[in-house]
Amino acid sequence: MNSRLDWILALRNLKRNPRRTISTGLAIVIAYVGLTLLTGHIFNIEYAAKIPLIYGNGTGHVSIYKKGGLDNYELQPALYHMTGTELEAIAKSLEPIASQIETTGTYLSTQALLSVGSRSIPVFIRGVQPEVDDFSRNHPRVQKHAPEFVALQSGQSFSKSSKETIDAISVSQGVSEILGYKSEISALAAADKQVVLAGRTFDGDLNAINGTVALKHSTGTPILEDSSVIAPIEIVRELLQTQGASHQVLFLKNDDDIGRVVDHMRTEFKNRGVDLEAYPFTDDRIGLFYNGTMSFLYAMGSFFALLIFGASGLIIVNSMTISILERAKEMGTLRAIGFPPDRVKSLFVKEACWLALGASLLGLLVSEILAVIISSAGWTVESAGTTYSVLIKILTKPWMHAGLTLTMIVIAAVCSGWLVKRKVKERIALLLLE
Amino acid sequence: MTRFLSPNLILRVLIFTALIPMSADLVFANSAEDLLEASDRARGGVATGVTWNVRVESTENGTKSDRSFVIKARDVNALAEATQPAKFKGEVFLFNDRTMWFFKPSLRRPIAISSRQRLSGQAANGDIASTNYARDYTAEIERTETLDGQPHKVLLLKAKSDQVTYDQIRYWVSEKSKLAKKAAFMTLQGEVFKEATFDYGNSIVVQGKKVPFISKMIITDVKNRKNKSTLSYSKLKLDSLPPAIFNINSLSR
Repeated sequence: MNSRLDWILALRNLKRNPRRTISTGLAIVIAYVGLTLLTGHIFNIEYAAKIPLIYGNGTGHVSIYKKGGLDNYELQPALYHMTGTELEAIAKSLEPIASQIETTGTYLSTQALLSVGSRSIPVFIRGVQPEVDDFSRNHPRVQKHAPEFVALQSGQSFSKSSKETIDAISVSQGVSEILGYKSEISALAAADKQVVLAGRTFDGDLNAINGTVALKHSTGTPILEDSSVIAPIEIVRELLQTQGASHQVLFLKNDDDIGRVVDHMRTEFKNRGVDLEAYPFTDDRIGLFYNGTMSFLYAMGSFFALLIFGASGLIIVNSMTISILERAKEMGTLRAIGFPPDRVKSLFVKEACWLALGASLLGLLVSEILAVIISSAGWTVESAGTTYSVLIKILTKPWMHAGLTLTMIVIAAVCSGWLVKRKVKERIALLLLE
Repeated sequence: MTRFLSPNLILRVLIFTALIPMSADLVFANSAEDLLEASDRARGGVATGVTWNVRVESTENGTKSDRSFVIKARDVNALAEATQPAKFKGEVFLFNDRTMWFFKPSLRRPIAISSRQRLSGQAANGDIASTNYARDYTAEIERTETLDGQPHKVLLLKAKSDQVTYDQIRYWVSEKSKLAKKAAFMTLQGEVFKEATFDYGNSIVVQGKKVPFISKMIITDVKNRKNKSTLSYSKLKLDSLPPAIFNINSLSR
């Protein structure tokens, strides 16, 4: 009963000195908004790096390679490619976790020469299933977080292009410039779009096939921009004279399932006795750039969060200290009418909790409004190591708000409790005289 | 005494002394080029047309392969048509001076490729056609070495352009027969990565003279000597080849 009464009393106490309440509350609001904007921006950058990696670069949430293939496929593709039997083993291993899988994609990559006329340039070809390429480019998460990167810069989807032109391929912006394409792909003469791709088959023989440049894409990474070609997997299979694949990827419905799916696949591969290995996209050998970007961002974010917390925390502590020192007489009166020291302390802590809760709710409102304004302003920021600008968006999440609110309440409660505990132990007469 | 040591005489002696090493260099350089030109003739570098068959048998990491080509060469051009196995039939390699093209019937147009790329096993694309080392490399004589009881000049060949098959070659050419007996193919840094030996069991008649011609070339990977390619040359004949067959445009017609 006392406890409920104390909560009500504490809430009423906030109204007794509005200046005091507003100044402390404002410090909490500023800290809350600052931290929300900072965290929301980091989330945005994380998505801008993660979504292109998962959906745009053919990495998926989980990649499956032949054991050792992740490191050695490029050098010894004949030895480290996946056979039809292994692809079947993957399909069977996926059956128990089918509900967690959104789709799967089979890829075959290789280094090759792309030739137009007398000009041949070395390229890296990624063979994809046209429907998987369409899936990854049109995925709602891609449209939301990285449309400017994953979307085809020129041409239709692979499915449509493959139906119209049997040997349709996509070249990156850089390759298109090297080939001397000055206009849009659709405006080029038919002869200019016709290319020849040459590579070594898995048997080590030179082979060459026709290709027609029908699409243009961006890789998002400067090091790949001058050498990337995407082609339907059947074209690459014809070039390499194989029915195999370099790797298979799994696109999951939920990012949180990555660890469980990787563990499941590893166990399945072991039980089935197949020489395959599953890797999360966060493995350094797959997502090195993503990991590097995020490590840097987290380090910078933590530093700025510390600054915001430090500055705001000092203001909150200072404001509360003054406010509690000002209220020594009130503590003395409460003690004089029979309130034990612990109850007085509890009353002040509850009051701090109300204040932090109210200020946090106000901070939530302000930060959400600012997030909408900033996100719709269309401002961009250059992201290190990418060829595109990231649209500045503030991505807030319910758990982020819950965490921040709880943090503010804890800071205010601990600060208040510590200050009152010291003060309330003084003699009642002295408290009344202050 | 002073008559003998006139300034004019001293000047003459100095000029003569300075010219001695220069003239020696000139003699050796000519000699190296002569050796290279002569050895090229026995490896297909003939101004008139010549046709031969070459079979490339390779062992690469335990895997064996066997391919055959008909080579038509004239001066700096050569055309290699794949004949065996059947899946490669119709594939053509055209060497237009230093540019190399690959074509097969299913292609819309030929593709420019590098002569350095591996064709089969240890044999690079540039190894199957005629050899024009005298045109493609600068040569200097390093030393004289005895090989199979015969004195050989050891030439160091350095590529004149990056379009040629190898950056550097150490080339053992017999002083007597002017035939290359051995080659060590090197990287730009001078590291030997492949070696080759040559046999001359064939012969052709050029300008009324019987000239030995290569019959076998064995190329071995220096790091793994089990990886090797044997090129066997046969059915050699002089042929009046029309220049049109070496025209790039004739390939896709």
